Amino acid sequence: MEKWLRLAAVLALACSFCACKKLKEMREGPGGPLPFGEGGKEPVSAAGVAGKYTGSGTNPEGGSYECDVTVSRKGDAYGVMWYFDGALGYEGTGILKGNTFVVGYAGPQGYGVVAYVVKRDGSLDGTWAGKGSTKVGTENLKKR
Amino acid sequence: MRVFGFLILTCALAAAAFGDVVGEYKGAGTNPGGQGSYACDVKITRTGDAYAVQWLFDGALGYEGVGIVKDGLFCVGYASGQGYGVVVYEIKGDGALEGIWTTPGFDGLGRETLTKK
Repeated sequence: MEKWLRLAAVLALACSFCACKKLKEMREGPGGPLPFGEGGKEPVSAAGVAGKYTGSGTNPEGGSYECDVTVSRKGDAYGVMWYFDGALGYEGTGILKGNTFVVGYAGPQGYGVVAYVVKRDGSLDGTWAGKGSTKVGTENLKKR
Repeated sequence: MRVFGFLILTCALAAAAFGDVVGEYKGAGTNPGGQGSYACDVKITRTGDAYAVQWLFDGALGYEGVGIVKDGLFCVGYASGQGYGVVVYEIKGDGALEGIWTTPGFDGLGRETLTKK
């Protein structure tokens, strides 16, 4: 009986650890805490996220890349363009919600999604996934 | 006995956390610019660190998407033969997903609410 109790306690600890880790990730995203004040819910300035950026990222399956990114305001939404060596590679459409800038993109190699956290210095810290991917990539954009 | 209570409680919590957005939903939405409304069925499955999303209209697959959870938001990029777009859903306490979406050419935001079947 004591053996079963010990096993149950170990299982309970493992379960609560996983649950807490998962809840933290759901609240904060895999990249850690939010950039702005308490709870990160202060809105981004009226200028929003429009601008020109230099980007560096990592692919879900390994390897890294560099790109130039242009974000322009289109009504309540944003248009996003990714350039690789000066050539347009992907186009996207984005929505700014709180401090999270979410972009759906499409290109010759399919479609996907990027969720960027807007940092205080105006840089964008992104996590992305392409169609069918089981892992996520990262992409960091800094204002030019 | 207390240990078993704790075990059940934590496992239920873990199940709730892991279940997150996976499931089958009834969807109701409006197009950007108040251009009509629609109903759909939505299936969300887990694919490792990401999610696959399917929108069905009258039982036929209309759009497919890929999603990630970030900051309590379920972020989805979708595509079909008719183009692509983005949806940002807020994950509600009751498991419902409250979304805003857009697609190139609209400039406005549509709405879509998903409730678990």
